[in-house]
Amino acid sequence: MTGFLQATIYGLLQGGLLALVAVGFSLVWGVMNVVNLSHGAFVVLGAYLGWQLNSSLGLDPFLGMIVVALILFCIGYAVQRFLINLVVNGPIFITLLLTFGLELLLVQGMNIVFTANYQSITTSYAGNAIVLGGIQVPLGRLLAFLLAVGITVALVKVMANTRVGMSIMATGMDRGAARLMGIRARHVYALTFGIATALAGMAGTMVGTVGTFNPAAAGGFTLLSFVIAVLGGLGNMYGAMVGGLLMGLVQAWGGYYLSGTWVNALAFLVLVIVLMFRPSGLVGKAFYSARLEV
Amino acid sequence: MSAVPVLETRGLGIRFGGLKAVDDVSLSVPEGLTLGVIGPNGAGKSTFINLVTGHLKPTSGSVLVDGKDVTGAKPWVIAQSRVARTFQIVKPFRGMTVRENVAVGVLYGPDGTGRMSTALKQADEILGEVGIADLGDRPPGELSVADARRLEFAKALALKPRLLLLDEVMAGLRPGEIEPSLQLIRDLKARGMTIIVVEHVMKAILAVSDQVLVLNAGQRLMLGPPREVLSDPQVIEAYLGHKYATRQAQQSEAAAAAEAAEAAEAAAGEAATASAPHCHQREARNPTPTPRPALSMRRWHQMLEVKNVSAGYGRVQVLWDVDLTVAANEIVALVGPNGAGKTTLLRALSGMVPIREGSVSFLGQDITGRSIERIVDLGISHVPEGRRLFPGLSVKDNLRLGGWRNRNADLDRVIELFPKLGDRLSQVTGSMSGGEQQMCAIARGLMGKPDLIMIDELSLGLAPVVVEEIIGRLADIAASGTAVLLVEQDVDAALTVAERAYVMETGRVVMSGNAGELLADPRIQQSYLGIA
Repeated sequence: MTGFLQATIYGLLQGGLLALVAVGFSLVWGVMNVVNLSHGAFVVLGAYLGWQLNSSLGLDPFLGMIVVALILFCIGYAVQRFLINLVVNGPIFITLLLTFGLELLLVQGMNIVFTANYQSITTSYAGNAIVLGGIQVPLGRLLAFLLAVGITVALVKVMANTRVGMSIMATGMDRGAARLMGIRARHVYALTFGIATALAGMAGTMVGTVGTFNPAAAGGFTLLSFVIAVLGGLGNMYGAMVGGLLMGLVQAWGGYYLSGTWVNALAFLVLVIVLMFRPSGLVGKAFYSARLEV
Repeated sequence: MSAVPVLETRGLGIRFGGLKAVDDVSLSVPEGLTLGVIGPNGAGKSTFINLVTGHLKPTSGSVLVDGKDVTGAKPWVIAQSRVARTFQIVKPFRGMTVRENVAVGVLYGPDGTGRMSTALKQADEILGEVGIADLGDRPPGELSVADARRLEFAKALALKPRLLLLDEVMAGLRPGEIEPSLQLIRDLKARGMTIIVVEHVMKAILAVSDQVLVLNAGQRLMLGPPREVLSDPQVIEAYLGHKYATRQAQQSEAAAAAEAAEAAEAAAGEAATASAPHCHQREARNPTPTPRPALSMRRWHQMLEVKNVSAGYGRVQVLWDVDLTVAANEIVALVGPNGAGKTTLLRALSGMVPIREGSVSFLGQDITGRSIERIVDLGISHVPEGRRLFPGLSVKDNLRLGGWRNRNADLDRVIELFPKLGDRLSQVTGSMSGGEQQMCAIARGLMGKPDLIMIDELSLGLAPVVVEEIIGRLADIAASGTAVLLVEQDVDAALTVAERAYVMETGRVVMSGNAGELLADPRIQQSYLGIA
């Protein structure tokens, strides 16, 4: 029983982090109908930047995260503004191809700069654990979980209540109508992508503090983001949260009861079953879902 | 002629959610008849064709071809019983040549022998019939709009049909290209083929139809000989608005009375008398609102000036050489039958459709080719067709987005204009009635304090009372300093509220002038219905 509870706690903590990994991916898909295959690469890039800040400047990763977010926001904004915007009206195949190419560039670039060795960001406190009734709660994971959930909730609030958030939502719902309100769609798209990569970067730094990473992990994060976004409901930020938690739990329980390779099979089985009964995801598709015609 | 009709529908209907797109249509089409199907936008014409050809499954009623029940049968089964159709949007097989496109129909059609060589030969014959024999080796993507339509014809003929359904085969054609297309229909008619023509171009309907079916809101409004149908008051009402027909009747009575009086008095000045009753009526219905400030100074300033504008989508040109002006504080109506290019003109003015030729200037600035956002910034607001409110957002959020550009969050002005919105600020727009949604859309368009607001299809899907209520506010909008350019189906309502109007037909402005005078002009009815 303690083993099961331990797995559950671990799953929830991991799930919150996965939610933050996926939420930006879901946002980009929902607002501009772009399936960003380079999302996982931005997560790993965030992890490396956090690691670099920590190892060369001694910056605590949970503080360094803010710097990482700023850097990745700028990169993301530029990538959307000067690259993806060029083909955003094209068929989805073109954006898939473009972001896939971008992923290759980023991953190979990181291989050259950081080598393919596994790294992790070490702190003095992350390994400590609180013990509650025989169940271990590692401090680093708890911190990462709380921050991830906090950031996701803050994102939802920002979307609903600020001028920038309103313009992103409106553009996602109906780009043509939003432009008729004077909202600069190209700028909004770039902002959205920048926010998504910033979130990915923060998630990446936290992933680095609770585990190991290398450039090859990028594809896995993209795949996870995809599954979580679809599981929760496309473009729905709370959906990403629910999808992330479920995915964390499934992985943890699967890992507890089954041998390694079955865990992924179980995760996809859950996806298939959920989609059979709730085709638009657990929480439901966001009501804004990319009306793109002018 | 056989006694069994080629096509019979009994109580045919289909629902999309709560909307009855086609409702209880019964019809019998004997062999050799050419039936024209007309009706205003959204009347269910294309849906009717889709029901007959099996592209949609009816929710009620039945379809009989040659007396055989084919209700709900798959499209290919119905095609095998020699019912062929064309599509409004041409759908060629892109990877094949023109000849192969037609040969596919021959191969899999009711007479298909399964031999490619014979099929290709027959395809060439059919291409010859429709007049594009020399284009057989070309890929369909290279064809001009007119030739692509001919290919649609050829593909349908490949099935050796007894019943041919033509869905808008004239759409997007230049005036000079319509006649050859009509001749093609006449030739097929002469061969005894039964044809159903869905068409907005009334001249075409008049030219080829033996009988005309009028659909309105999914229902069979009338069936009869073309001229009789097109001069029926009910049909005129469906096309031109609920009061137009009665007004016309009153006017002709008044004119007759005036003539009688003239004859008795043998007086001169008949023209003035003839238009007198009308002017009187207009004033009565539209009392001039509060005097407009600084009107005399700004009156002649042409705020919006459109010169020789041409525009279109892809290879289809929709607008030809359009000229139009709107002065400050003016209400200008833009009317004309379906497919005239009214919506496209508004879209071109707001930057949603690129302008190919000509120029647009606004408040002295050239805005040709500017981005949508830039044009909005300069003071043109566009309430698009279908309203396009942000679904899932409240009325308040929609209005605030309207004021996004100038950070205007002051809702009082628009609520004063449409008090109903004031009670619904926190309601999600999707759950409101069509009228309230339209009010919200117009209010949203006004939040940016534009100098000109362009409203597309204000009355679409709304009850006449609601239309009157909303149209009544336009004078207030103009008085408060925002000129109005109104595209409207209800001609009577539009021309009553507007000061000047433009009538468009097949992408061109065919008439313009004082709205009151245009309302009395029989040529308007002609441009909608083909006959006066």
